[in-house]
Amino acid sequence: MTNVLIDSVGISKNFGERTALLPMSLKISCGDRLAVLGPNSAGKSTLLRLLSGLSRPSTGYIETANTGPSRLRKDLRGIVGYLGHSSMLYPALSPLENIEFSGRLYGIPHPKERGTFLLNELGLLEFKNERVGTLSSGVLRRVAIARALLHEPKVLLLDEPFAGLDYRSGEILEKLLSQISHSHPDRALVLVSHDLSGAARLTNNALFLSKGNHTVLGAPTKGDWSEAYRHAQNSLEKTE
Amino acid sequence: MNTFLIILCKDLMIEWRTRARFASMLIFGVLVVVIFYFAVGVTVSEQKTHFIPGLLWMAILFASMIGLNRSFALEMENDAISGLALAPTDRGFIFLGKASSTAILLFSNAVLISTCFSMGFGLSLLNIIWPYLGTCALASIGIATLGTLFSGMTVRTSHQEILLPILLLPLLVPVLLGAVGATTSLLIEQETSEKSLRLLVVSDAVYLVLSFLTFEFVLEE
Amino acid sequence: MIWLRTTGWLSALLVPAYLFSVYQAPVDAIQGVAQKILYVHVPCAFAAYLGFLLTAIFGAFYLATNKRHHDHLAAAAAEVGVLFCGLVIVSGPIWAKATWGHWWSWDLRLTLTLLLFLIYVAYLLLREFTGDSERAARFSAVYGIAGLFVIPINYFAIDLAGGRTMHPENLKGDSLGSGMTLPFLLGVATAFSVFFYLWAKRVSLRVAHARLEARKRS
Repeated sequence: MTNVLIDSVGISKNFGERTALLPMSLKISCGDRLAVLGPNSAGKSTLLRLLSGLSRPSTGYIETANTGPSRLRKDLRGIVGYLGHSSMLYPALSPLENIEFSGRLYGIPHPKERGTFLLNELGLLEFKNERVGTLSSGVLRRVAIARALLHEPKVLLLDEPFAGLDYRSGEILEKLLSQISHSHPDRALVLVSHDLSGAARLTNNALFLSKGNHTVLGAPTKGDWSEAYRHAQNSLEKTE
Repeated sequence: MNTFLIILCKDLMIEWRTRARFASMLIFGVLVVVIFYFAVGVTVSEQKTHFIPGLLWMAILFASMIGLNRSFALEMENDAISGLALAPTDRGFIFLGKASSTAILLFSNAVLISTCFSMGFGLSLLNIIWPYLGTCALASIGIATLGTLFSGMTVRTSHQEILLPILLLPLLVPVLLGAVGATTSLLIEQETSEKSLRLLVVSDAVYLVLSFLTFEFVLEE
Repeated sequence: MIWLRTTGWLSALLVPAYLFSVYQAPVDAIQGVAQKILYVHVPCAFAAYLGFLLTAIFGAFYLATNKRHHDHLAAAAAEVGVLFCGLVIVSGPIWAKATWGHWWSWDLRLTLTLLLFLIYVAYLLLREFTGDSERAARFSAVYGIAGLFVIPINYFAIDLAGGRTMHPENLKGDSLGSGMTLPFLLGVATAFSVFFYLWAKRVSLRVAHARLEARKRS
């Protein structure tokens, strides 16, 4: 019984002429808590989209624990909870309706109850019946996170979850993610963040990306990756 | 199969709340009726009756283009389409859900435009109402099926409003000819044209299978 | 490369032979010299339909294998096919004017070929307007397959609507007058040979362009 949840081999992504991610291999196993760091346009979001099954790699393949490389990537999508830059919510529906819709698509029993529970955990109960089109971006971000957590995914892929959140909401979210990591050691977390110390509190390893290139940073030093980040950035820039 | 119903309900719920597509399609359809009325002359003579089914289906087709353009527009707001793409389901069923909701919309619109046409041109559709509704249903399914597939593509291109009709119209010729043939036969000869209906059914079946199988490639990145 | 050379030489041999045989062919008693457009119109039509078949087939291969080369083959077939289709659309009315006195008739085959031309153009516009080249390859492959299935239906649809009016019936074995078979067959052979030559040329250009892009990237 393998504890590798996602095995990506030689994956890269090109968008026409532009290379977003150079070929790399990455294994996500049970208990992994990985931060993905780097400057803008480094390929971090691209990597997450590939791992979520949303995007097809230009080269290489991605396998999940139970199946071989699947072109349709349905199995990969089933074990992953993804948060992107956009909220992926329908403006004409309420947060609860959006979450219920998502829950039904994932085949969750009692999606309404589970959705209400998650919205409560994230301090969003007062907004549950408002139309999404009327809510602020910070609230939408948290609703989107609730959606990603809905089906209790084995691998949580979060692309800048703290972006746009006020201090209190950020605290609540950090507490929730920490709780999930501790009570479910068989799950994995991959987190893109520009907050190096915040990321260090939730993760125990980091991947540094720059212009499609990557390097592993290892565990944070003194609860922070600033030093390792700077070092990696300098060395990657020298090789370009 | 469940996926199809879930998406169908979601789309209908959103359409009911916003009524954006339905309203714009209806207004466009009515405008076309008015324009045609002025264009072909204010009285409908015996000779002109033969043109009416053609004009009617032209109006329905062009109004459908507007509805189709908007079909995926609602999915592009907040990148909701990625939310659909993330679901661990067969994407063919996602397609079925969207195409069904669009077909219902197009059918309602076809019925309303036909009503306006029959009032404006003095057509008697009531005594052929059931076969005529059947024709509308078959045509709506055809247009919605291929239209949903292509609007899924064009929504991520530049010039989407002009590209969709360019892609769609040459391939909708069978539906148009089938619908016009069936309507002409019903209005003028008061009988059902089996050939036209067969054409509609065959076209719909081909479009449906084609789109169901290839939608996966349209949705993925 | 071998494809290019073979078809190149073949075309170089066939084209003059074909032109000569057309020149030598007897002038039709009823239609006059205008009838000789048949030797251009029909072979080009065959090549145009072949082009679309290849576009759709290689598009399907691309979707199945994700190999870029299949997309090059599909796109190149469309680019060459639209050329031949254009020649059909142009030569048809010239013949129609000379024979029937008016430029256009909405008969079955001509209308179908016009629709094919529009489908080709739509395919190429779709590729052009889709920014990302991988997405363009995918979308156009889907469109090509859709077109392939719908074109036969269009045939029956137009036929149903009474489109079989003025176009000469299908050429049967003995419907060609004596002395007309050779230029016609040479015409078909030449059209196919030139098609394959242009196709090979276009594919090699696309491959070279893709290699250049890849070099720019790394």
